[in-house]
Amino acid sequence: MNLKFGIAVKIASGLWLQWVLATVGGFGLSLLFLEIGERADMGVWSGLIGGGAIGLGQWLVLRGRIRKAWWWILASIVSWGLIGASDLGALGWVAPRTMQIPLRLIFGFGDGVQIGCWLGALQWLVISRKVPRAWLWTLVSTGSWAIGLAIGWGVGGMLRLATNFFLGDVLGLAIAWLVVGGLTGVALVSLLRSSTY
Amino acid sequence: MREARFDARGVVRVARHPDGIEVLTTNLTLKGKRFFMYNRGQSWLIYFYCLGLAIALAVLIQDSPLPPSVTKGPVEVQPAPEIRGVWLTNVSSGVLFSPWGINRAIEQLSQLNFNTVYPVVWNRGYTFYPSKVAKQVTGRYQEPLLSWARPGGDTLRQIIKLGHDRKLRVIPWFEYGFMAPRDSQLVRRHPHWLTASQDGMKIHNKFNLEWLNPLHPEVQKLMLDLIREVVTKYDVDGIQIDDHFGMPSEYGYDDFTIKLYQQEHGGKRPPEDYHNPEWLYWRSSKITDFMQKLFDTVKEMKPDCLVSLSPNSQELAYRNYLQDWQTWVRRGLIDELVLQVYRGKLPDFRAELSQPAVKIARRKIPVAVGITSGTLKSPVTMAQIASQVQEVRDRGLDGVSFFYWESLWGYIAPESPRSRRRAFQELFSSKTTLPQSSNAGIKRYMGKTWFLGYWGLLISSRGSASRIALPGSRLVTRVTWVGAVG
Repeated sequence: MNLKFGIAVKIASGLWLQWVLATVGGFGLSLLFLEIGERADMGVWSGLIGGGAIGLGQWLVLRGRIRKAWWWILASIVSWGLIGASDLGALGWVAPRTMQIPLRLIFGFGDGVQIGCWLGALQWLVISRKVPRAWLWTLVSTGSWAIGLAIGWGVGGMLRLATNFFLGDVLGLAIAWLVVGGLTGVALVSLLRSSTY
Repeated sequence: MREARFDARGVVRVARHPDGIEVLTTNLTLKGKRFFMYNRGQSWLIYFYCLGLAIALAVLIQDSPLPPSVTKGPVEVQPAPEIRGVWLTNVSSGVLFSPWGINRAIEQLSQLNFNTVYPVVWNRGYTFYPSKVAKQVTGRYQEPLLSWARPGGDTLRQIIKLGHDRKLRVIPWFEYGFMAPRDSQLVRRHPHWLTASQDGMKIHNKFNLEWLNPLHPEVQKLMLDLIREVVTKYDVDGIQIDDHFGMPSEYGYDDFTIKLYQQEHGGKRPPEDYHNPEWLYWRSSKITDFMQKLFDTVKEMKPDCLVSLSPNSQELAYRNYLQDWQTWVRRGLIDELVLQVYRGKLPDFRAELSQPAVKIARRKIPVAVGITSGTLKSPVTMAQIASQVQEVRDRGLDGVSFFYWESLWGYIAPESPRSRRRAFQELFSSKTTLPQSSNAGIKRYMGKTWFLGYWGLLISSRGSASRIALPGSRLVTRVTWVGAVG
C-alpha cells in the first residue's frame, strides 16, 4: 500500500513538475518573440504570440493525458488574444507602471482575478468532456492568477526598485508564471487522477 | 504495472493506484480511423506548425513599424546634420551572438533614425571577423564564442550589408586597443610584446588586463595589419580607435622601451616619476608617430575611409593614457572625434564639453559626444539621456553616440523597452545628414555635396563655396575628386 502510494505521489509530482516547467518554459519561449512592456503596449498580437508559446509548452504535458489536447493551444491563443485585445492587455507580459508595491499587489490581485476567470473559462471548454468536475478549473485558474500576478508584480517591483533595471519586472513576471504553474499544477494533478482520460 | 486493451482503439500502458489508474506512456499503437489519442507523428507536425506560426508572427511583430508617437506639424523642418551613433560590443551584450540580434539592432536603429554604428572588431585579443592576421598571431580566426554562435559566418560583413542597405555608416571599432587578457593566445604567444610598470607589474589594476606596448614595432605591425585587413577586405566607412589606444602613463618600464629611451637620451634611464613631463611627452610623441603611420596606412588604401577617435578628455587622455589627441587633431590625423563624456551630473557633463581642446577640435573636424545609456553597474534614465542630447545640441556639437546598444532600450534600462524607443523617436524624429569633415573625403551618405580632396575647397551642389577647410593633413599630394551626388 505504501509502495503504491509512493508511486502515485511520484507520478503526481512528476506531472506537477512537468506542468510547472512547461508553463515557465512557455513563458521563456515567449520572450524570444515578445518584449515585456506596459499595458498599452501589450495588445492582441502580444496575447496571440504569448498564448501560443504558453499553450505549446502546456500541450507538451497534456498531449498524452487528455484527448485532443491540441485544442489547449487554440484555447490559450484565443483566450490570451482576447485578453490582449481587451482593456486589460496581455497581462502575462505586462509590467505595471506604478512602483508602489501595495498598489502593485492590489492591482495584481484584481487583474489576476479577471484574466484567471477568462483563461479558466476557455480552458474549461477543452477539458470539460474529458475530466470530471472540470468546472473547478475555472475557480483554480482565477485564484492562481490572482495570487500569482500579485506576487509577481510585487516581487518584480521590489527587484526593479533595488536594481533600477526593467529586468526586475521581467523576473517578477517569471515568478508570476511560476506561481500560476505551481497552483494550477496541483489542481491539474488532482483533476486528471480522478478522470478516466 | 500492466497492459489493458481498449476495444480496438489501441494499447495503453497504465499503472493502477488505490484511487484510479494513471496513463504512463503515450506511445500508443492505434488502428482505425478514430484515434483515442494523437500519435506522435501528428503531434510533432502540430508542434512544428505552431512553432512556425509563432516565429512568423514574431517576425511580423518585430518588423512592424513603431506606432507614431510624435505628432508632426504641417511643416517638416530639416534637422541639423548630426552623428547619431551607437557602439555594438560583445561585453555584457548578446547582440552579436543571438541569431537575430544584428538584424534586430540594425532594423530598429534605422527606424529610429540613427545613422552610425560602431561594431566591435577587436576585443580581448580576438577579432570579431574572420581574420588571417589574427590566425597567424593568435592561432584563431576570430573570437571563439562568435565562431560557435555563428559558425561559418562573417558578422562584420553582415553588419555592413544590413547597415548600408539602411543608410547607416558602419565604422568598425578596435575596442580594446592594446589591452589583452593574460590567458589570451595573443599574450601567451608574445609575452615580449607587453609593457610594464616600474615595479614590473604587467596587469593593469583598473582593467585587470595586460597592456601591449604601443611603441614596439611588432605590436604596431599587428595593429596596422588588422586595420589594413578591415579596410581592404570590407566596405567600411571608417575605423575607430578609443581611449585604450594608448599606454597607461605608469607603464613604459619594459626592457624594449627603456632601451629605446636610453638610445635617445645618451644612456639615461627613464625617470622614476611616471608623470615627469618630459617622460610623458616622449612616450606620447611615440604614440603620435604611430598614429601618423596608422592614418597614412588607412588613407593610402582608402582615401575616403574615416579615422575616428573616441577618447577621454584631453587632460585625462594625455596624463593617464599618453594620448595627445589635441596634437592628433592639429596634425590632421583624425577625421572624427567622439569624446567620451560618461557623466551623470549635468554640470560635470557641461564642464567636459567646455574644454578648450573640444573647441579647437570643432574648428577642424566633426566632434560628437559619447553618452552613456547605461551599463550593468549603472543604469541611466531616459530623462538623463534626453537632457544630455539637448545639451550637445544647444552647444552646436556634431552629434552623439551611445554606449551601448544593450542599454539603449534593453531590459537593463530603467524604463520599458518600448517607452525608451518612443523617447528616442522623439529625440530623433526624422532622418538627418552627417556633419562634414574638413579632413577626409565625403562619402555617399553626406548628401548632395562635392568635395575636393583632403584640405581643399568644399562646395555644395548649389554651387557656392560653403566652407574653406584649413590645411590639416600631410597627404596634400593626394588631392582627388571623390564626391558624388547622393
